[in-house]
Amino acid sequence: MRITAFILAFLGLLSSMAQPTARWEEGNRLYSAGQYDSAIVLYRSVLEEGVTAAALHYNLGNAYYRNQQLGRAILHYEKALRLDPHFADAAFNLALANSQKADRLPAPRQTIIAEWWRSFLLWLSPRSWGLLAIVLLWLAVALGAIVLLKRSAWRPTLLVTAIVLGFLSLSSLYLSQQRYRWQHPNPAEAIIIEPNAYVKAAPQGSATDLFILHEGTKVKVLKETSGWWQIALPDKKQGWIRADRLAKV
Amino acid sequence: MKGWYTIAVFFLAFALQAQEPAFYASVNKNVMRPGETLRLEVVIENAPMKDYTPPAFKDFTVLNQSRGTSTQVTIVNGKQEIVQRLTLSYLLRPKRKGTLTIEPATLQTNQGSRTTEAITITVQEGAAQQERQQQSNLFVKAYVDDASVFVGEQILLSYKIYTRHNIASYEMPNLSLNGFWKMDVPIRQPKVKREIINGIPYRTAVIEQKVLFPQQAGKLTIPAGEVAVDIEYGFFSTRRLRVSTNPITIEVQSLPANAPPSFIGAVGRLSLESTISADSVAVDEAITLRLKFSGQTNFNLLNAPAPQLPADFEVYDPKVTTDASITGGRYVGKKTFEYLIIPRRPGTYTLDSMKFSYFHPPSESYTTLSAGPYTLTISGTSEAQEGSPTPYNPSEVTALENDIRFIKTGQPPHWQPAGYHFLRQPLFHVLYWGPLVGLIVLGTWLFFFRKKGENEQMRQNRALKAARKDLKAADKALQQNDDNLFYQHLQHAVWSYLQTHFALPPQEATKAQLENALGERQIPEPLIEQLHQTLEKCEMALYAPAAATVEKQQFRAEVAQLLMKIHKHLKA
Repeated sequence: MRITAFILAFLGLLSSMAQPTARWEEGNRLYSAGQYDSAIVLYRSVLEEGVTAAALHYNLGNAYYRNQQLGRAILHYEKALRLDPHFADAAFNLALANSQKADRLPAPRQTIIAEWWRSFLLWLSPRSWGLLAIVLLWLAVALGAIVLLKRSAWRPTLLVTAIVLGFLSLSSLYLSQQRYRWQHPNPAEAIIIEPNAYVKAAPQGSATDLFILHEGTKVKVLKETSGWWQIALPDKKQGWIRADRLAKV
Repeated sequence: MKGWYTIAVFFLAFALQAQEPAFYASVNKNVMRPGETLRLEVVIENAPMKDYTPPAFKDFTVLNQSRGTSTQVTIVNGKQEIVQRLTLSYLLRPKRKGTLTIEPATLQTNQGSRTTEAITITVQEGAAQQERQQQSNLFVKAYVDDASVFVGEQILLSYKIYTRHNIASYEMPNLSLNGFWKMDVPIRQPKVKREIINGIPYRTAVIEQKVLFPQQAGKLTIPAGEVAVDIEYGFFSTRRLRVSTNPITIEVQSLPANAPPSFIGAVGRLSLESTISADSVAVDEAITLRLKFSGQTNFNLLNAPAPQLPADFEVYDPKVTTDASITGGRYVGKKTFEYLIIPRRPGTYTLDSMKFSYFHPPSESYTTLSAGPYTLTISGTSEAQEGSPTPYNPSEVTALENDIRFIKTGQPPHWQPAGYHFLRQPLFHVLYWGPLVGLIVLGTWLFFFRKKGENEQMRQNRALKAARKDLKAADKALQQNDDNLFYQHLQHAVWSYLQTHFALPPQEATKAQLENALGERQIPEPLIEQLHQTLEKCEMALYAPAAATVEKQQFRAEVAQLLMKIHKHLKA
């Protein structure tokens, strides 16, 4: 009896592991058959299970693009690139989708140093930076142990090397954290997913309309109250949008 | 030739629409020379002549008195009207010169008592008499319906002619009405009425009417003008008379200051009706927004509020239709503004309610009308999204010809839980902080539990070093022939070596203890025996030097050899 239950639980675990892949493949099949709205449903069901992957967001973005939902397409391309900044296809499709959105906002200016720092940060994933930190720390600890246990002429050199390795390990730890912050920036970024959205002066329906944004436009979310988000544009314009008009990257 | 109206016939016949009883008196002239006679007619219409009291003729002599009846049948709008008229005629001669009065006559009817008006007769000598007679036979009166108005409020200006002549034609002057917006009221056929002024019956007609809208505050004047009238004179000949009109002063008040922001100058009374052709269309499909103002105002100057729509819409200038006319002396009608709106992008938009305010003079307050709001749902895709080149941004055309790249298929992706953060995994903490903690524990242990900082090997080395030092000192003593010092050094070399080696406190060590410790370390028995002998030799040489027969050089070598052997054994 107990064995049967155990086997059943194991099988359940197996099937739940297999489900995202099965749905992903079914979604791909529907996409190829031109049934984009059905593909969207399947891709989304995978996401709703709390599982994610860059390729999944990329495929979902494509399905939305084909389904004429430009805003959501841009949203999921952005998400795919957050998970994998070196995803060339996603970057290409995002650029294409961005060229078709209605709002033209000035791109924020990046200094060369910031750009260099960004590409260095994105060189490894947060996990890889973390693993590097672990490896470097192990080396430092090993050298430290040698310094403690062995009295030899190499002692000062070993000590300096251990300290340098320890410092590098801490740097990797910091980079891992920064890389994670890049993936989850604060303030969060959001994309307008409805065809248009009125930006109001206050979080009330009766407030003055300041301007209108259209789908696909990226904004920063400064504050969230019930049903309304305060947003800012790259050119420092601010206002409140109803929260169902946009989604966070 | 504005102001010219030819009215050859219209004064010849006049109709009275009296169905009701009427009672009035008239004279054929009210200015006369002494000795002339005067005819007074008292007319009773549609009433029996009972309880009639003739006027008291104090200043006149009644020369003759007669009565006549007539029946007049008129058909107005298919309705027959019959007027029964009884005319009582009196031929009078004034008794004296001056201003005389014909007292009223009285008649009791079913509706009560009625009287005629008193008539004043001027009896005098003079050459101008004929002229005066003619002038009083023709005059034009100007009047307005309201002489105290607000800026923009309507005024009706009328010119009425009073005549006892037959008029062939007349010509109105061109009045300069500064400060007014003016509109002529068309008069096709002046309506002729009879009015009795001071006993003289006149035929009257309104010959000119203008609707005026004052445009500025203050005292505005409608100036006097001269009307040229051609009267019939004899057979087929006319004579031109000129009569002056009276000037009128209009008091114009400025509008109250508390005007709402949507007030753009309309004064009067209005209602607003708005319709929209559709509120849910596709991109590029036209929507018509119609704003219809109806009521009474100066429609020529009426402007509509423009619909406030975002740049996603193209709003064209409105098509304006005015359907207004002067009816009953008021400028009433409607004005329609049709806006053509073309949406260029999809989405849900709000057309805010359009506000329009007007000033209502009777209540001296502003009234605000509103139209909308409307919610517009635009479906479809705008042209730019369909990939056609936009005229403003030709550099994008090349990019738009591309299509997105195909989805990822085949190898399933590496699934990871959403919001995965490696630095927050327990595994990371174990792998990162574990070795660090281990290193710290190691250091602490070394510090507290082996605080000498010296291991066995190091101590052995130290012991050997000390022994070598002692042997060297012994060699020095030998050279100086100091036997006592020589043996002391050799003894010390052995003792200190073993004490250091076994980490024994120097004072507490005894020979037996040392031998015991060596035995425990499995040092061979002959070696211990040799050690024992060596130490005894040293003691003998130190305390009984006479008995000592030792070759010093050889003894020193033996001690060194012994120590090396013990050292070897202890190390193993």
